[in-house]
Amino acid sequence: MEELKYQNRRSFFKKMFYGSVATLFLNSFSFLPKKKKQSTIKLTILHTNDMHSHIDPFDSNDKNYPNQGGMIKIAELIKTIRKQEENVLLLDAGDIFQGTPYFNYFKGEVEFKLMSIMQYDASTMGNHDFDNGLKGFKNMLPHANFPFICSNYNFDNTILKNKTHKFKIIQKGGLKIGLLGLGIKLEGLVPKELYGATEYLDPYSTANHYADLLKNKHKCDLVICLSHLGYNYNEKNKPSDINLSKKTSNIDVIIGGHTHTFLNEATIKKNAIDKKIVINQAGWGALNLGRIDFYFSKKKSQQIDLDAHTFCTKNYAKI
Amino acid sequence: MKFSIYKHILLIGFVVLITLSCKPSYKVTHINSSNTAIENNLSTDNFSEFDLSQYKNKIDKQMNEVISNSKIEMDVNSPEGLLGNFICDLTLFTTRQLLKKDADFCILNNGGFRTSLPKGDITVGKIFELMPFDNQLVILELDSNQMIELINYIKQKSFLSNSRKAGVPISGMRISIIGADIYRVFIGTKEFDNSKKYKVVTTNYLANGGDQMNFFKNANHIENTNVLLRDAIIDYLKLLQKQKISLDAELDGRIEVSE
Repeated sequence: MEELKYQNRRSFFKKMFYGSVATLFLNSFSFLPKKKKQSTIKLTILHTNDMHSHIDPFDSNDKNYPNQGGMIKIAELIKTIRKQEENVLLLDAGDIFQGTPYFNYFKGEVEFKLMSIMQYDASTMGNHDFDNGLKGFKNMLPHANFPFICSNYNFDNTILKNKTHKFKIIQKGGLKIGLLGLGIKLEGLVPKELYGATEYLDPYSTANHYADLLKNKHKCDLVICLSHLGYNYNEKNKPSDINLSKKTSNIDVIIGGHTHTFLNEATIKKNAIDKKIVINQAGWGALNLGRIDFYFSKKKSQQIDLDAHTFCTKNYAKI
Repeated sequence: MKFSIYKHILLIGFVVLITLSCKPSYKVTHINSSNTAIENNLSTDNFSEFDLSQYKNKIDKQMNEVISNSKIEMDVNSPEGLLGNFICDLTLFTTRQLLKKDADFCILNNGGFRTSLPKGDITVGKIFELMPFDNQLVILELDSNQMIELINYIKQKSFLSNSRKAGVPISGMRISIIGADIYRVFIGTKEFDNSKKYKVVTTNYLANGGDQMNFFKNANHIENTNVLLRDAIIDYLKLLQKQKISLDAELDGRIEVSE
């Protein structure tokens, strides 16, 4: 009996073993054509910031940007890009609110509804998104079908508790993309009665905490930080995207806002461990659409390295 | 026998390990980046997924109303600019003449003016663009220390340039700055007297220390007029229009800076 039991068990394990080998074998065959297709993945990151309720283009008599910009135009452009690219990630770095009568009249409803239709994947909060108070922002949330990621605002003692995310993981084309969000210090910038009991956490340590979690625990292929800190300041020690890039080792991309910085293309910097980190910002007023295309290849490595010699700085023709 | 079972368990474990380690992870080979300017040639016609008209119609009628005509374009500048002077002047006028409140001078911030005012027709929508914030006019009383901090704040910002945040727009006040020194300060027609308290009209945003106006934080907050700065601008322009007055302005040297 015992012998039989063992034999049964043995054959069971044997079956298990050969079964799993066979499954693996078959899998590798059945995935062969797919694998070829997936061995390189292109991820197109499109992003905006500081759109400031500019739904329509600027006035025809505007001194600087006559007939330019507008979320409606960006929506149209993104629609075109989505037809060309398989894996589009659409992000915003805050200050969606405030700047045109659309906000004064409809309090953010138009902005959120349009961004939902544009299929934004995520946004973070800018200082002007507090302009109608925490209540004003909360009231608009039902109009947004995309998440807000705020890592360094602690809303636990406010009505926004559990309404935003500390971090978020998005699957796109087989890639695992980790997102965190950094906001600017509200004191002195936003009236206290508007942000209430919101607690501001140190942006650098918060960012490093969540970036480490996303990269090393959740094994994300790419870690993106949505930031409303601002690109760079004359005040050397003021928290900014440039300063953040030097203090982080797990963030791969910083999508910035607040300083209304226009860049022709993303900036490449070295992070704390001398790896390359990408920083971009797209002006303001929906006058610019930021774009970064990442080409991934399947590797048995979690380490992301943007090799200098393969980095391409080619400029696309302006559309 | 037992050994054989462990061997198989080991083997299975090994297979599982291999399977796990084969779990795909991706490495960036290269990246491209190019940001696109949203220019005139991009159409807005084809984006039919969103019906903007329901919102647009509601506000267009009011926003498109022409409430003024200007002979010149007005923008912010440092140490003084046409736009800042104009808005501070009308704020002081509104406070004194229309609201019948006591105020010695007005201070606002250039960062709060979100666009310039064009030459030609000015619509209500343009004023919303200029002053989108629902900032209210408030009156504070400053003691001499707070006044000196305020004057130094103006001095500091007057030396900045090439930024929409340089310069401090004021009205009812004249300042001469020579090098690092404040040369002379006039409030109204009288020289600044550091034994006196002064009443200032500004916005609730600045009164709470916005734009680093820390001298307001401990000042005596006298009253909130509950009048929006934007409404004050719109009402003033309508008042001029009624009297058929076109906008015109020139710099008057209310802040003078020399090396």
